[in-house]
Amino acid sequence: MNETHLHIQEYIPQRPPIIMIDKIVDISESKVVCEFQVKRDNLFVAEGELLEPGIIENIAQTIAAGAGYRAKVKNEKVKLGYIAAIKNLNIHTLPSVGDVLSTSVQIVNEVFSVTIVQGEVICGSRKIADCEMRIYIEGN
Amino acid sequence: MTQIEIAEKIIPFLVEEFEIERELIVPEANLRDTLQLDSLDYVDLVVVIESNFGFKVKQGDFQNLATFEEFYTYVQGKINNQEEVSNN
Repeated sequence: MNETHLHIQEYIPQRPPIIMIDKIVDISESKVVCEFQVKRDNLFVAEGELLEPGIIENIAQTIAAGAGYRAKVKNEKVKLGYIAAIKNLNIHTLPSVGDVLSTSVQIVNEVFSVTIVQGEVICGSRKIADCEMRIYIEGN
Repeated sequence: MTQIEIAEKIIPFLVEEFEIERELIVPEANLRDTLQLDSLDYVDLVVVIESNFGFKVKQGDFQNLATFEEFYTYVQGKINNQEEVSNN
């Protein structure tokens, strides 16, 4: 799937003002890429920069969007996921208002009810953050 | 693969992942207590096993494992099963 504007709220459980992704731009069985423009009125913006919790939420919602999209195309119910753990989190720089983030997450393993993903946030040529995130999937 | 070889292969990963002293990992020691495993730590343990030995751990496999010796026996059994399947 190439650049596609999707109505993001169909795929994630979050609602304004907590929505931290704008659109899915690429997706496969094990990977998803979302874009998000940082706006001044964002809940996690302070002094013109998107703070760390906003970046983490952006990664988590990218995972949710991938799972939601895959479930929708298979006509399955979207299962809820919860952040169970975050490992090796590196935040290199904070993005500014107006920046467009490209966030990619790759599923690296699935252990019982936990999906392990590697997430990376890029802004232009700058790496903003990366981490390993473990998501507990309800009902697996 | 012998249990000694299994132990030699996995212990360095356990020491690093769970940040414990090498000397605490002895065959008769309790696995859960020694590694101070909570439910999420089991996920880490499964990742270590799967990436080192190449078999898939099933939910419930650890239920009856108390000591490291039993853990090595479990891993050894899984490896042997894998070899039998690949030889048939």
